[in-house]
Amino acid sequence: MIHESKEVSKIEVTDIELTFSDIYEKPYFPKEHAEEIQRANALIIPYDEGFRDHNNPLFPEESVVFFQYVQDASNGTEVTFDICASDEQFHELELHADLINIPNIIMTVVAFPIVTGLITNYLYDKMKSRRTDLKVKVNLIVETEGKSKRISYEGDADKFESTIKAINLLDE
Amino acid sequence: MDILAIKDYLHNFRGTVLNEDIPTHLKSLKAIEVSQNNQSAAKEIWCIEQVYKVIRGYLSAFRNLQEKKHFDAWLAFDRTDIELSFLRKHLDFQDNNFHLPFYDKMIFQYQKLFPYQYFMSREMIVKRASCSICGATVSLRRPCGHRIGEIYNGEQCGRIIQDAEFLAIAIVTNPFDKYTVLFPQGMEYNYSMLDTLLTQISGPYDDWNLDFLKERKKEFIGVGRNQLCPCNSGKKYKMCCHGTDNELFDHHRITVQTSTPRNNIPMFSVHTWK
Repeated sequence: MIHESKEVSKIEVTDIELTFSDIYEKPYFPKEHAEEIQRANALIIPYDEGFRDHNNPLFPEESVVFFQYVQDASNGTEVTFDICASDEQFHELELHADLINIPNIIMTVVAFPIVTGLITNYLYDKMKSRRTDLKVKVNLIVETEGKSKRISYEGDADKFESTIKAINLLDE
Repeated sequence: MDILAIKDYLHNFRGTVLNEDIPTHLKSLKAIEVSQNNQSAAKEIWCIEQVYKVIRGYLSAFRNLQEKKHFDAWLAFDRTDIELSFLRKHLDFQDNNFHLPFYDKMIFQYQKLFPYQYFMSREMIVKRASCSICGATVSLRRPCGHRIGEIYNGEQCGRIIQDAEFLAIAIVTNPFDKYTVLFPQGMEYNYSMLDTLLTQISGPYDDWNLDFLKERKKEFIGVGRNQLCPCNSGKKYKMCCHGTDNELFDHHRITVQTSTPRNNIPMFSVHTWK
């Protein structure tokens, strides 16, 4: 379940059939923002499945805050961030558990190190305002040459950076 | 009272009842700063208002503990913890301003002595929200510019949910909303750790430390590796609970820092339920 986690630093890398082009064809893709979204090399996307009886695309709570943070922080870098939703479609799923779900992000391999650095900084700011450990779940999809890998991290926020740095996408 | 006098009062406060006029004074002072668009001074006053809430909440929680209104105390500690967390990004706790590290430590420690283990987590879909500062609907591509948690005109920015769909309640052990304690019918929580502590201290400003230790359960002490496991599994101890958390229990060791603790209480075991 996505309310809680007992993991310390679990990471999984799997092949996945999902590319930027596939996202552009999804029913939830907001065509009115197609031009700007297709410029992004790091794109926040909704959960890939519904929640309970709810089948509309959903984003985790605080996705707006996260989106604004990464948009500001990626200024001047090679990463262009966007979010695959219009205001009208955008719904956040709040679970009110003490666990941070970072929104799913699809990115190019060039964007990967910068995006993971931005997530690390975002989590660091979150940890600063706490006195207890923070658990986090992160799902990243990295596309390179038309193929994609899903990198899923679950565990302590302060171990995200070192764990993610330990994987080498080229070797996987 | 001017702002310096209020800051001095709150920094040195060690009583049980706060001056109730202070919020009114602060409100007036803040209105003046906002009218002059003095954002940094207005923000400073917001911080002092928060400090006042933290101290008042802490005193209220302690008073509830003394009166054995445990759940009321829990709610007050939780609310105070939230107010303190709002303050954390705007005021440097390391400078020991207003003795905030003391309140921070005590709130955390008191919360740890409550027996609550299961909570409710509400699942909800937020469809539309607005900014508490300007009232604008939250937008992905046309943000109003106000950031959650920041201070504008002496007020903290938050989000007001305008449209939401309630889905379900989940039972969790690490809730965001700590007020959602489960009270199963016919069962009564055991607050003896808190009640015992209260017999050893004289007021909210008595300092004490809490250490979390792992101790071996009595039935596992002295058991040989090849003997049957005390958990009654039928397996040998070495093949069962030896070296696992099953043979350990959490020991909350409390050390009262004041010069005259009333007496030394040996370790005793406490169950969640009476």
